[in-house]
Amino acid sequence: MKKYFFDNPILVISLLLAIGIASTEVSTWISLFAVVMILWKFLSEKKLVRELPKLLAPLLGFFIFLMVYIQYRTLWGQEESTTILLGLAAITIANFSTDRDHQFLVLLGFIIIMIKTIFSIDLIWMGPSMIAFLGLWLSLVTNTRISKFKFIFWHAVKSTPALLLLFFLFPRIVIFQTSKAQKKQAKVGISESLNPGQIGEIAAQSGLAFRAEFVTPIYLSTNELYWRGAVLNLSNNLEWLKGAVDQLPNVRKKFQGQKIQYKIVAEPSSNKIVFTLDALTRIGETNRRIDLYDAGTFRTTAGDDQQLQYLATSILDAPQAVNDDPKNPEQDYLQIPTLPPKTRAWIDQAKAKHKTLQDRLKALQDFFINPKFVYTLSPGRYNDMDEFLFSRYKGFCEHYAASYATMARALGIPARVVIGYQGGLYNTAGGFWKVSQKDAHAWTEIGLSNKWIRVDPTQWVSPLRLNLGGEQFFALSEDDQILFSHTKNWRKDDDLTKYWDVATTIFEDLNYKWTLFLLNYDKETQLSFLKDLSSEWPTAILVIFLIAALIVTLMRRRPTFAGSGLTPISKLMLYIEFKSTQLGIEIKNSTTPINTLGQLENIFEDHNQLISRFKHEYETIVYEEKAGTQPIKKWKKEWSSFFKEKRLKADL
Amino acid sequence: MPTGFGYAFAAVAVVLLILAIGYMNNLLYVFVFLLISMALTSMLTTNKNVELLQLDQLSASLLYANEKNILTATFKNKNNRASIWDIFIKVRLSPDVASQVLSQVKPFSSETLSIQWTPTQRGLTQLPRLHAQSRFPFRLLVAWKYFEKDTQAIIYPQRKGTLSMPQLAGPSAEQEANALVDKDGFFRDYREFQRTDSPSRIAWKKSMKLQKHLVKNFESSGDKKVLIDWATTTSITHPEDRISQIALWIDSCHNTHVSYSLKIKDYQSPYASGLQQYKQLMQKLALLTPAEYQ
Repeated sequence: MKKYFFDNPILVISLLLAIGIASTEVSTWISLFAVVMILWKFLSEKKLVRELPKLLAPLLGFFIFLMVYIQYRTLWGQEESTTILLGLAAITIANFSTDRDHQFLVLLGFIIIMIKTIFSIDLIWMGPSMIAFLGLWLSLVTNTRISKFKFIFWHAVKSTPALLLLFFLFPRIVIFQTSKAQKKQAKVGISESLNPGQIGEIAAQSGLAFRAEFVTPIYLSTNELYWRGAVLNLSNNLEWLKGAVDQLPNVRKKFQGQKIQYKIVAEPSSNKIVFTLDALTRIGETNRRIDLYDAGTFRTTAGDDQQLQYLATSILDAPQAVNDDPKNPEQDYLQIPTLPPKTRAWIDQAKAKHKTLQDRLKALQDFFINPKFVYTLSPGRYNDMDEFLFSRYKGFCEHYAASYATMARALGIPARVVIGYQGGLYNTAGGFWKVSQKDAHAWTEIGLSNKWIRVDPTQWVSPLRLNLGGEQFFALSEDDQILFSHTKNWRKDDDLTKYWDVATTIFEDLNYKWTLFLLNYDKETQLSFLKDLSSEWPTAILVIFLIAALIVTLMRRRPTFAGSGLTPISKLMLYIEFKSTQLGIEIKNSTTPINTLGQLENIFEDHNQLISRFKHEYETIVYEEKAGTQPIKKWKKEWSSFFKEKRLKADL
Repeated sequence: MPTGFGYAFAAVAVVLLILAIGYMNNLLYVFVFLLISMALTSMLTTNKNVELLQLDQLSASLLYANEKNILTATFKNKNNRASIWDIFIKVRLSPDVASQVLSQVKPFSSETLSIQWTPTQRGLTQLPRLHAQSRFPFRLLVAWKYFEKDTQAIIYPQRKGTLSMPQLAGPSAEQEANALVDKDGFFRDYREFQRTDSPSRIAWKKSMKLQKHLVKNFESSGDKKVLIDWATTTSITHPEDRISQIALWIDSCHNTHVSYSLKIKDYQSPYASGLQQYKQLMQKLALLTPAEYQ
């Protein structure tokens, strides 16, 4: 019998959800292809267009493989296989006509949902993924009388003990490491160079960069959090490059001051940069290797699809000594390119006017504290320093940091650009900072009195950005960002955003804990968990017994709720009907309970009293909705002995 | 046992488990183990679904060899909590027959099904084993159960041959020979067309009106008597075919309400009509041994 795809709404919704979730990871063309195929199927099932010819399916399949090969130059890899799977699903939908197609689509759907987990373990995908997952199961239940949603809910609940046992006890063996094809498009994130517009591009994204949780109880405000990533030494006016980076032995640095310890869980990134606060003394408890490089920066060996976590210790207000660095401050931090004419003229004038470094720094600061300067995410595309400093006055943090550092060097002050993240959003529910791509930032460090001092020119242009953090600042309209940029602390508040903030805070906290749990349950954790379990064997036995009892209890539950909505008297009526049929009395499905009892009255004249009493009771309880004359248990007893007696008579 | 879909599902689960191990991805583990545990739970559900079903009664009225007969089976669900879903039932080893479906048997309830059965031999035999199978809920696995009732039934011979009876020699034969004598009697009522009736006997007007095939029943005239004699079937070579021919004539006589008798060698039954005569003579044929007709 021919089956119609759109006749099974549960399958349609679940599959579309699965395809939608996975399509966020692949190119747009495959999503468009899927939309066209599904639309075609919809129209053909409505008899508005012809069905897709069966012969076209292999051709379309070949087309998908060809397109994937053209785009990626390989068929092997996460994005490649996801694209192929989505294409196959779309073609199967277009040719859907049998039960086998349904089953094939369900299996494809399962694979698509699970492949998504390789791309992201974020809790936000769990909801839709789980709905699609259970929906695919549900689509396989064909019985129309069954209460499907309750059925699948209880089926999932019954499966939970087995899931827990498997998850916690299945050995986390490492047989092989699945080859991870390099992503053709690196994830958005900080890189080790700076071009005008580059940080702005990152800050326009909303993805998570990392979460930071302070182990040391300390209150830090947003504008104190500068998460250093890469240090750039080579100036080309508004463009900066990192230059040669030397790997150093992991020596524990000694700084004087208050130690603060914090845990960082960073999202996968292709650039291997490790983010820490200033004056890092120690880094450890990491799940991947981390190496120290010069200028107090770190790199990891984690793959671009692996999350990184580490515990770091920094000292507050302990700037790094310039001579700690293997570079020669005079050579490496004073190098400047040929300056554009207006900048050159300004530098020459400042140099002539101000003889000390302090005065020159003050003059530089005064230059930037100019109301004409505007802090904006979209300053326009240009990379001429003169244009920025003397005509446009519009720039993002990288414009200010790059030009400040270049000008400082021109004035004879060692300077470098640091890129990383500034601020974050504190999660009050979980007590951690969520640092997103919106917090991407660039600032400078200048070498004064053998110390690297942080100078952030953005603070003179838009202090609000530093006080609020990127996420809250960029949530303002562009006009408000400019209008209130010089305000120290300002935020538009209304009830709606308050509730939204509470909801997002709680969700973020859950998401963080979820990520930590998923990341931390590795082979070592499992072994230690089992060791703990074996040393606490009475508890372990109790836990196993409880799980077994839970499984048995759940399995004893009926698969559906066929009688769960029944009142005790209705259940008793079902019992009476059943026992009557056992005695050979034919009771039709259409017969009402009262008529059934009437039928029994006629048959069993000798027990008329019990039957007529119960008939009256039934009417009172069910129809008049009043209390009965005696408990149902008592009635059940009476009916039970009645049927026993009748059965005996029948046997005789 | 897994179905074809079940095997494909298992293959997918194994591939995904290998992926989870390879990627060391705990979220992938969560989904794979949920997939596996859902399948394990469905295994128990499928098994329990069939296990709860019980055959209460199995009966049939008249059964004929090599003809499609209907058995009436009553199944019950003794469980007071769980419903039974999607059970496919048919007589064991009958691949050409479509299964009957019990889509739901509520707790403490019974359901009756009509199941097709085609026995291959006449005689006394045990009612067949019923095969019940279910792929509920996800069609990943199939569980089955056989039901057997220790009840014996007589299978009448197949009704096969020609309706018209040969003319017998002798003075009384002419009077007795025509099996289709009913039209000489008075019209009594209508009844539904049966496969042994000649299509020419269909009362078309009435059939059109009631949208089913009907034939007229006539009061048999008391003096119409038919002798069905084994000797008249000598032209048929195979004894079983001869028995089938006799069975057809008996059936025809019974349908036309004439008084009839069966004569096989030295045995002759008294002339009579009605269900008792029919059953008696058909039973005689069902249990007929070579010694009785050779």
